Amino acid sequence: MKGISLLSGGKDSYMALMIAIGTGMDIERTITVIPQEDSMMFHVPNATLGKAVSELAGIENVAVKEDEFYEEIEKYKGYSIVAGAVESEYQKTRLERLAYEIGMKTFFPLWRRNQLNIMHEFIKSGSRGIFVSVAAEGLDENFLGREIDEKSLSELIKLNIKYGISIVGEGGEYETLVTYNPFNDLCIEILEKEILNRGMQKNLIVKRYSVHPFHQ
Amino acid sequence: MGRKEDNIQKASEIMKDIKRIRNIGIAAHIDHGKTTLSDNLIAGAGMMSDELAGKQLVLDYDEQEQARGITINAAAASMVHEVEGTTFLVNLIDTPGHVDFGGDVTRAMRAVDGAVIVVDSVEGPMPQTETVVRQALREKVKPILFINKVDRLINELKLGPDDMMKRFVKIITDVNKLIKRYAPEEFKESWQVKVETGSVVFGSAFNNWALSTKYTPKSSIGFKEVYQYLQAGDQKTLAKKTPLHKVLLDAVVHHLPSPAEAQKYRVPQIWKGDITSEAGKAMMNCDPNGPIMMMVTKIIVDEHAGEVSIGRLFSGKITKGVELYISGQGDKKYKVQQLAMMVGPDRIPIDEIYAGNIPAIVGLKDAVAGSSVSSMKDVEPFEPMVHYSEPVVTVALEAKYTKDLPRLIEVLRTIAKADPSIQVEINQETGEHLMSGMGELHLEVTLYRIRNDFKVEVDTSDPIVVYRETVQGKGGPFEGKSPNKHNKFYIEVEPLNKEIVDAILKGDLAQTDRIKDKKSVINLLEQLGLDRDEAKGIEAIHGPNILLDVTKGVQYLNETMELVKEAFTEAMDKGPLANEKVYGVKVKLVDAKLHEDSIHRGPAQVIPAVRNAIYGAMCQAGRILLEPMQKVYVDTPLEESGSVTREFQQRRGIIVEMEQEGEQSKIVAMVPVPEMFGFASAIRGATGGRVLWSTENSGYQVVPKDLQMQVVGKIRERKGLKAEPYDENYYANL
Repeated sequence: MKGISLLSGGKDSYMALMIAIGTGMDIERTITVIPQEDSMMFHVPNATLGKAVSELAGIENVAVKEDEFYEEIEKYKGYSIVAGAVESEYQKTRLERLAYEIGMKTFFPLWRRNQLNIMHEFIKSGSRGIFVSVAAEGLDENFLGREIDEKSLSELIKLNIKYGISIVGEGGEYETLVTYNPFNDLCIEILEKEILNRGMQKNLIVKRYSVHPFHQ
Repeated sequence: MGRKEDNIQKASEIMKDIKRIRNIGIAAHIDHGKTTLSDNLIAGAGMMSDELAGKQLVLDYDEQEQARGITINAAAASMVHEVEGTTFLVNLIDTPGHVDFGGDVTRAMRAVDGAVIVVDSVEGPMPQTETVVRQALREKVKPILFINKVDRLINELKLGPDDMMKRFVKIITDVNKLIKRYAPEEFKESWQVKVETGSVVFGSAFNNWALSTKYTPKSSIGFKEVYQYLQAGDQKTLAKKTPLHKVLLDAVVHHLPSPAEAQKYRVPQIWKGDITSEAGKAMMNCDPNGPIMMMVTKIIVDEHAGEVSIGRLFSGKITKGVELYISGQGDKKYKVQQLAMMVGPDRIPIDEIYAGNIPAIVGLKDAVAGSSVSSMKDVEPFEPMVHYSEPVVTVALEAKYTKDLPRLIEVLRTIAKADPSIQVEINQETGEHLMSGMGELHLEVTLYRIRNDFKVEVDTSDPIVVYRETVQGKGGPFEGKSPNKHNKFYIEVEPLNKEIVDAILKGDLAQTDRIKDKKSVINLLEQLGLDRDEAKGIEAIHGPNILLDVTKGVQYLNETMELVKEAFTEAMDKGPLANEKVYGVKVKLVDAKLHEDSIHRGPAQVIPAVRNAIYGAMCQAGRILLEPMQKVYVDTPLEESGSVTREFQQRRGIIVEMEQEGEQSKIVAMVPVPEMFGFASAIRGATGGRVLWSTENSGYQVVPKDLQMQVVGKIRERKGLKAEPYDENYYANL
């Protein structure tokens, strides 16, 4: 089966893509949407890095603006569309409606899965990623740039108990960027970055990076 | 078997017949003789030896209470009394008279159906008399009046019989005015106290005699004879002929209701569950065969048994070993390990106790004053007990020796449980413990307990005043954005009118974030001057602040309202100026834009958004700091009144009343609490210890303009905040 995969560059869309590939789906292309500011549908920070993460997965990427999205995926009638939605009904139902209109199938491999398991699965796979945005009570700037690992996960669990944040960050509490794919040993090296302060929301913007094999 | 044991035996028999039970409290202004009265009643009823009464105060069983001569904790005692051949069981709950400990009075009132209001014949009704009368009537507790220290009128004031009568009439009229003002509508007339019916009793608690037109023993005497005995200085004979306990307990039995009678009108007041349900019916009928429904009104800590829960059993029968549920503790069951009746400091073990009585139970580990205890799981709990005054002074304390830290934490927990007007918090950053109470004396007494009873050495900070924050004008609409920028809330704030603030503080408007009887709350708010359209939006009441939702048709707001209320509560607990509690602010949600997906509007998004909107609007409205005020009543010899006035002037005090009576002068002043520290020793020094004084917490007042920023800065510094409060731009950009 042929498919396209939505890829923001964060851990969920990356995992959805890897699972789709693992089930034997032939992913022709990843699509990264460059959203309008504070889009309810697509994720903002470092959207341009979708291309780099796609490179980690070894798949061709196309970046489109939010208002060009429909036009782009229309081309893939009969394909499956893969996305990393976990809890967001909003995202899922909208994609399903689009897919229905166009005549596509949908595949949401992470949908309603146990959030803790998703995190553990990502960490255990050997993949690596960092936090590039925080936007929730209790999540502060020192999370930016940190690795997704058991230690940061345990802090997220505490915040989940204390403030009710979603452990996978599904409510926009945080965003991540995948930086290493163990299946082809490629990594993203960040060469220049800066922090963008938007009040309680803080973003780490990657200004320059390179993609190269991790182990020489 | 001694008389005491004999009476205990009798008591456990009468206890089953609810018509023969009276649960009463004694309420009075400080020093009007309440504890002496209680002790002489208990002694007279054969619960302690005659010699001791009046000298050894049984109810003041804490060593330091005796040392200070004031009653700090409401203890309980059961007495057997015979009227015309029938024995009655009178359960007496002692209540403290010092306003610093006002919380205890409120709780004791929940347990009783009737109250003896004690008034000193020389002083007449005092401010705290009004407070305790109000507290009693609010709980639908029926009063009778005991005019105490009648001997002083003759021995000290040298009044003649006519002047004495005039004095009595004035006291009775004043007390009846209070009853008329505060009694529930249906009792305003029928609860008036009258000499003719015997609901007014005269006497001297210390000298152990009393007189009433109705219950004075046949053999005896009218006022004329009393006057003669007093002039002759022979109160011993009076005490024999017309003993206090006999006369007063007769009046109690005749005028104050049995639990069976009282619960019919009291239960709907204190329990908002369905009256026609099993529990409701059982309580209305005081049914010993119904489900167990008990309200804990006091926890005392016993060296051997640990925590003892004392309260009122409204229905059912408690037996030793039975397992009970405690409100708020879910499925957990608690076994009644020991069951007892209280006689002063003694707990007399019994095997079972019936509806209408006051049991003391060991084993209800997680109960606090105010807990509902039941044989039924998830039963509607009793209405929370209303506190009239909130803590105004705090000390920070830490264990002197680090090894004592765990013990200190345990002790503080126990103390806060036993005395809910003490609040204990831990400062998460510094790790120090903050203990708040009703005044300097209240904290001193509690610290004394920590050091001497619990034997923990502690270091304390100077006492810290508890301030409040409010706003001067209108602010907003102010936009608050969630951190993920997907939700926006628009808030307006303005000062809440005084009528509503008072209604909340008095407890007429219950503080809650789940308004049960919305219609009546809306009507009440409207009567208190709120616009009907605004009143309809009432969502929460927290502190003397209200949250109104005046939005129209905002989608998904229903699902989010719980979080909005949480944010409101949080913002009202920690104001934007100095993180002090907010006082008298109306918060209006005027609009909101919400992400349609619920996962994008979780607590970590909505709470900061709403909180910041409230803070921002408060900045625009003009934030100001309030300081707590105390009314200080001083009785002083005339020649010292100058020193007293000077003392007040040095403390930013304002004299509100000055009255001269013979050689004495009575001065009332309003003084800011931050200026009251050290007042006790200063006034003693200034007047050579020749003054009597008491205080009453009296609301809040704006800190003078020239002091505002200085005080705010100090509070923020103490709390480890940056010196300058954030401004509206800060909140706008969050």
